[in-house]
Amino acid sequence: AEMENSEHFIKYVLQDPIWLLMANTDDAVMMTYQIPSRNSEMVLKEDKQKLKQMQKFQPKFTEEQKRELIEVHPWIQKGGLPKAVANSECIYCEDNTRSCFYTP
Amino acid sequence: MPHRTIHLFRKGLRLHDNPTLLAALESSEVVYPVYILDRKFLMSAMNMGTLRWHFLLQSLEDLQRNLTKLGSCLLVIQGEYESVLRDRVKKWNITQVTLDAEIEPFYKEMERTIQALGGEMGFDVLSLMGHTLYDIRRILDMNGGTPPLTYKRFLHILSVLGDPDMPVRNLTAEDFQRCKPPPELCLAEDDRVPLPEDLDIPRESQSPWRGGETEGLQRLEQHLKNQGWIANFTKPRTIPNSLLPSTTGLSPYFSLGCLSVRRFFYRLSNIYAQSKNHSLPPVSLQGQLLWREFFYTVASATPNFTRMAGNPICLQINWYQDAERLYKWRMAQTGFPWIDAIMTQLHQEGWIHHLARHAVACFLTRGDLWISWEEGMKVFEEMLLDADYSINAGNWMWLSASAFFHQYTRIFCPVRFGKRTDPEGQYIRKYLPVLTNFPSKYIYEPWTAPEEAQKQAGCIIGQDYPLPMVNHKEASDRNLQLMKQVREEQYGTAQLTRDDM
Ligand SMILES: [Zn+2]
Repeated sequence: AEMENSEHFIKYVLQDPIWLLMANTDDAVMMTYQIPSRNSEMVLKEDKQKLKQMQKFQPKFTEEQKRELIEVHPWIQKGGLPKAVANSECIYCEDNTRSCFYTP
Repeated sequence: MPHRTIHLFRKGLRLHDNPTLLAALESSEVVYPVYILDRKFLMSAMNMGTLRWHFLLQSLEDLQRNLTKLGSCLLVIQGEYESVLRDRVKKWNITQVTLDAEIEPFYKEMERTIQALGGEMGFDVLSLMGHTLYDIRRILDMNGGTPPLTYKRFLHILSVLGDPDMPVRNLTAEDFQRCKPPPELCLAEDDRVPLPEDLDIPRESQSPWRGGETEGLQRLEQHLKNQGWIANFTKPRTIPNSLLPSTTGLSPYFSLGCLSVRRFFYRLSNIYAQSKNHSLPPVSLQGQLLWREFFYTVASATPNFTRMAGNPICLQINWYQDAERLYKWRMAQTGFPWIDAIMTQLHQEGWIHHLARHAVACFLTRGDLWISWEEGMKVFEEMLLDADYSINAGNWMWLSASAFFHQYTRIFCPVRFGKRTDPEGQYIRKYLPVLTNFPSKYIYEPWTAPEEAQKQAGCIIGQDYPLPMVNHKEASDRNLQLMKQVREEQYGTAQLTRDDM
């Protein structure tokens, strides 16, 4: 019965997401936590390996869909990656977008 | 034989441009307007925070008032929708249930359940689209049954379809007179809109938004006046790039269907047509409605649209999982005042400017923290009054560069971007009072202020306000490279090119 009650509680009462329980959130963490510096090359390497494993789950498109994409993103066809992709503007922010981005 | 009908409100909490309700009234001798407050369903379908509950309850109250004015009423019934419906269908000898057709999987599932119930108990189900400009099933059909991948193709399809249908006629007291539920039912106390405290929700809210059709329609007209688009009104001076919610903000009303998008669309069309001297709304305003429509179309036919895994249009990226980092972002404790001020406004008011959404989404995902867009989407879903299944997920996929609607290679700087638009940091001072006395020079990067200045401002960084949680330069440089790798890997799968299959 107790089990039932707590389930009931979790189901019906507004609550924080589960992952919050795992967060270490005392004051010191909140005020002073900084992501440690990491060696970029290592990060990129590890990342690449993980990406390789995900490869087979990447989106797959039909010929028709590819044509549709290429029309908007011609760089896809050329095979490389664009040096700088011309940013299509955000329709909500309009005039703002062009000025507001900053390339690091 | 005229029907005995339950009109079931889900979204579409309005009386203007309500095709389903109109059809219900025209085909019935009695119409029971019902909202089933099924908390179990709502909580499992969407992650609604306090402000959203307030907005919903306010919208229901408004609907109840407006229906009462026309001689009908709104019955708000708490319980599981299936058993409530079963019970009332029997009690009231119902022969028809009407409801707006929606595209969200949980609402579609609900409609299927009601269809099945209709088969079993012998009532008809009528559902019409009222939430979008077009019946998006037509857009899908025109595209061969699949959703368009690009906005360009989407606009092309619309150009073939022509303008959306006009809004349907207004409902009148006569419509409702003919279909009035028994008066004693309307007078009964038990089917009223509950108070927040009845649902264990805090009573108070600092949000400047009030839910409801009445407020939505007023805001719509006010918005058009403020912008100087209606003759005889001059445009008030507004601060450019203002992030305060004075200039825009109809989105919460569209999201619950308190306002009809078709009404807005044709209101704008009228203004374009009549206008001679005064300034015109940007065409992009209608464009915003179309962009919304685009997300609805894609979401309606894409499996797992709100997730990365199993989502056929979403780039698969090895985002990091880190509860502390996510928590700090969510709780406005990143140590970047610009980001934290935005997150605070989101908590307090339930609405933030679209540019602000870009900034915090970029920070969480590809810019600084490399955390999945799904996590950010859930936080927005909980807190944004305009949170919407299709638009929220679509925006997050887009802002995190996970989808093909747009490409992003640029990253927002959490310091410089805000500084340029608001050098004095007024926005930060409003939402982060702890930094109120900081000199403008340091307010975007308070950790760079000398100790003496921090003391004078009464705010020691690392003690009263957090240290910056990340070295933006380092993280964003690396993440840009990561993003390139993602693209390369994806390119390497040879799925995107035309001739190397
Ligand atoms: Zn934007």
